[in-house]
Amino acid sequence: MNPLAALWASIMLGGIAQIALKLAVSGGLTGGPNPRVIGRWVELLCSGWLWLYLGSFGLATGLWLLALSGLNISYAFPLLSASYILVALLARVFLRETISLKRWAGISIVCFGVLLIAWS
Amino acid sequence: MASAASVKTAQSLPAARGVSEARQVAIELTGAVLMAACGHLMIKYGLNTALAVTHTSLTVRILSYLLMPRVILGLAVYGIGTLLWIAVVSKRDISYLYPITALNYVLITLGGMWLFGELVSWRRWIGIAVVITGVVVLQTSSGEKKQ
Repeated sequence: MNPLAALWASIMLGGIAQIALKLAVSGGLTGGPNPRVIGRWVELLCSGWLWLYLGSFGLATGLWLLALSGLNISYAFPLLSASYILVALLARVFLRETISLKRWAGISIVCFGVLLIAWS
Repeated sequence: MASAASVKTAQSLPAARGVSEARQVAIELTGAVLMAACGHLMIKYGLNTALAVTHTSLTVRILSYLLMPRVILGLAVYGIGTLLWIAVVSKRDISYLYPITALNYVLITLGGMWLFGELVSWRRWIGIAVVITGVVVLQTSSGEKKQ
């Protein structure tokens, strides 16, 4: 697989993983039909979204390693900051999260900081 | 839908419960970020003692790393951090929480400096300061006081 394609697939899957996790636990872990916390965690294991989270997170990690085997880390690492913007966009579209101007500002500043760390 | 549910819960709770919920979120989020960073540093600490082994195949090497007590401990700490992350994701917007995990780069840089004597360039210090600034800005949009 082309390392650049692996890198972008890794970033996309990493973003999808966080959205899937949010969908898995959006009912809350301490409320819900089962009052016992351990019961809620057991219920969580039966959620398809949780397995999509674990699966896409694992696949994203594998693809990241594949990408790193063909690209310099100084090239690959800065692109990880795209994942913060991707998660925000996916959350807005699929989870209907309201993202205020302040939150966009915070996300952008974090991305910029990660870029600076990556280029140091 | 998710945020709507959490807002409803927050509204239906008395003020005192609301405060403790915010504190619980803070503890879980701090724990998730700290334990992910500590887990990575512990794995690195374990691997530092294993770098001499290079003559075997990659698969054998990875398997031998996974059997090292320090690596196992690091993975366990990372796993507990993931459980805390799952708990906190159930309570706040993912668009707010996810960028905060960039603090991992900050903590791992500081840990690498203190524990392994790695050098930190001034550019990296600026990056660290910018990431922290971004997280502070995000704190003002934590999504707990919507409507």
